Amino acid sequence: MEDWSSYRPAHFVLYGPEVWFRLVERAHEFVGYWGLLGPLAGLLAAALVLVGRWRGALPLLALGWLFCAYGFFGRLYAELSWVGPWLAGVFLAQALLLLLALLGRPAPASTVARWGLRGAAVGAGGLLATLGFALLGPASGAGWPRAEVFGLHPDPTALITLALLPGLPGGWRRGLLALIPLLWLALSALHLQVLQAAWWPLLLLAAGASLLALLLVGLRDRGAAPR
Amino acid sequence: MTRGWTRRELLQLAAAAPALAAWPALAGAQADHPQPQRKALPNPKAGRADTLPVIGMGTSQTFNVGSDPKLRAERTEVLRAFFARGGGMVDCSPMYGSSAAVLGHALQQLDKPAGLYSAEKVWTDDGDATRAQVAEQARLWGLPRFDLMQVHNLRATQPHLRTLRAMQEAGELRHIGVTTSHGRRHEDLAALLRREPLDFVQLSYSIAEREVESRLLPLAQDRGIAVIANRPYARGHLIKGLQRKGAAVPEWARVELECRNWADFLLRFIVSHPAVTVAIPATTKVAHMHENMAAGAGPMPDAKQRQRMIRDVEAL
Repeated sequence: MEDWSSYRPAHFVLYGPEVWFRLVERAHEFVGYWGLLGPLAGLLAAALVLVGRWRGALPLLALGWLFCAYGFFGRLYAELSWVGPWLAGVFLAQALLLLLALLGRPAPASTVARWGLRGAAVGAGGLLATLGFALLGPASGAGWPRAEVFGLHPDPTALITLALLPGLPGGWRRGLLALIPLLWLALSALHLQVLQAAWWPLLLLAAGASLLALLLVGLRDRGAAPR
Repeated sequence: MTRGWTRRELLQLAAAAPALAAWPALAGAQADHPQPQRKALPNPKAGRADTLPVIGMGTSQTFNVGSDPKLRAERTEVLRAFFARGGGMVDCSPMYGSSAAVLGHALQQLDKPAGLYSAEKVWTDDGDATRAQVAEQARLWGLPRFDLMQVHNLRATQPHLRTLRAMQEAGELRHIGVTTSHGRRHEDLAALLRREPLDFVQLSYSIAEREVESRLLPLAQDRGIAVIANRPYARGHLIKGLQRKGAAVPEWARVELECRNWADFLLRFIVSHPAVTVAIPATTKVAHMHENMAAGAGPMPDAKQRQRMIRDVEAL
C-alpha cells in the first residue's frame, strides 16, 4: 500500500520555478508580437460586457481558453508532465462551455451589466485581470517576457473570465462558467506556492472576490426578478 | 562504468599524451580537481571488478526542461562538469517528465562520455509493459542498453522483476534493482531485500533522514546489495535550511575532514556509511556540480566522526 499521507503538493511538481517561468516566456516566443492580441482581446471582451453585448464577449473568452488548451498545455506543459493533456482537455471544455452559454433566450436588460456599480466592478476586475496581472512578472524584475496575458497563459485567462461573469445574465450561465476558472485558480495558487512565487495568495484573493461578486449579483438578480 | 582499461583505450590515452603535455593548463586543471573516490559493488558480476564513483547524479526535477533550448544547453553543461570531474552513475525515471529526452540530448552533445553508468527505472502498473518501457527509455537516452534498471517505487514489482531478471540473464541489462524514496514502504522493501536476489536498492538517506540506518542498510549490506542514496540534501531543504540559519561548517570538520562547505559535510556523511555505494544529488547549476563532485574526493569520516556530525546538525 502506498503511504498517501506522506505525499505533499511539492511531490507532484516535477520541475523547478525556473522551468515553469521559462514556459511563460516560451509562450511569448512562439507567438511573438501576436501575443499582444491576447490582452487586447481581454479588454475588448470586458468592453463588450460593459455595453451589454455579452454575446460578443463569450467567443473571445472561448478563444482565449482554446489557445491556452492547445498552446500552453497541449504543446508546452505536456512536455513536462503527463497532466498536460488532461489540463488541455479541461481548458478546452471551458471553451466549449463558453460557446454553449450563447444558447438560450437573450437576457432581460436588468440582469446584464451596464454602467453602474456592477459595471464598475466588471470594468475594474477586467482591467486588473488584463493589465494588472500582466505587470506582475515584469514588476518582479523578470522583464516583459514574463508578462502573463489572456489567451497565452492560464492564470490571466481564468481571472478575466471570472471578472466578467458578473456582467453576464443570471441563471445557469454564471455558475456553470465559474466552476473551472475557480478550480484552476485554486490549483494554480497551490502550484505557485510550491514554486515559491510571492504572488500566489493574489490568485486565492481574486478567486474569493469573484465568488463573492457572483453570489451578490445572483442574490440581487433574484430579488429583482418579476414574481 | 569503469571496468579496467581495454587495449583500445590505452592506445587512445597514449595518443592523447602529447596533446596533454602541450596543454599544461588542461593538465593542471585536472590535477586541481581530484576525482571522487570509488566503491566496489558488493556483489560484482563474474570476471569484472565493478566500482563506481561515490558521487552520482540524480535528474528528478532538475532535467525536466522539455524542449527548451536554453535550459537544455544549461543542463548539458551540468552533465559536462559531472563527467569532467569523474562522474559515473546518472539516474533517471519515466516519472521525471522529459528528463530522459533531455539527458539523451546532453549525452549526444557530449559524445556519449565513456564514464557513464546509466541507471533507469520502470514506472508503470502494467506488469506486461516492462520491455516496452525499457526500450522507450533507451531510445530517449540514445543508448543500446542500460547498466542498471530498477523498479520505481515498487510499482508492480514482481512482474517487472521477472522480466528484468530475464533481460539480465540474456545480457540486455547489467544490474537490476528496486527503489523507494521519502521513507515510503520500508516494510515492503525489507521483505524484498530478504527474498529477491538484487544488485541495487535505491532509498532516501541523508543526515536528516536516517531511518534506513536501523534496518535497511544493514540488510542490504548482509545481502550484498549495493545502495544508492537519493535525496541527499532532502530535495535542497537541508542545505538551504542550514544556509538560512547562517550555520557554518563545524571547525573540527574543516580541519579533520577538510570540509569546505555543507556539500562536503552532508555528502561525506552519506557515502561514508559502509553500506552506501553512491549518493545521487541533483542540481541545475555547474558550480553546485563541482561542489558535489569535490565532496566525493576528500577524507571520509569514521564511525565516531559520523556520530559527531549527527550531533552537530541536530544541535543547529
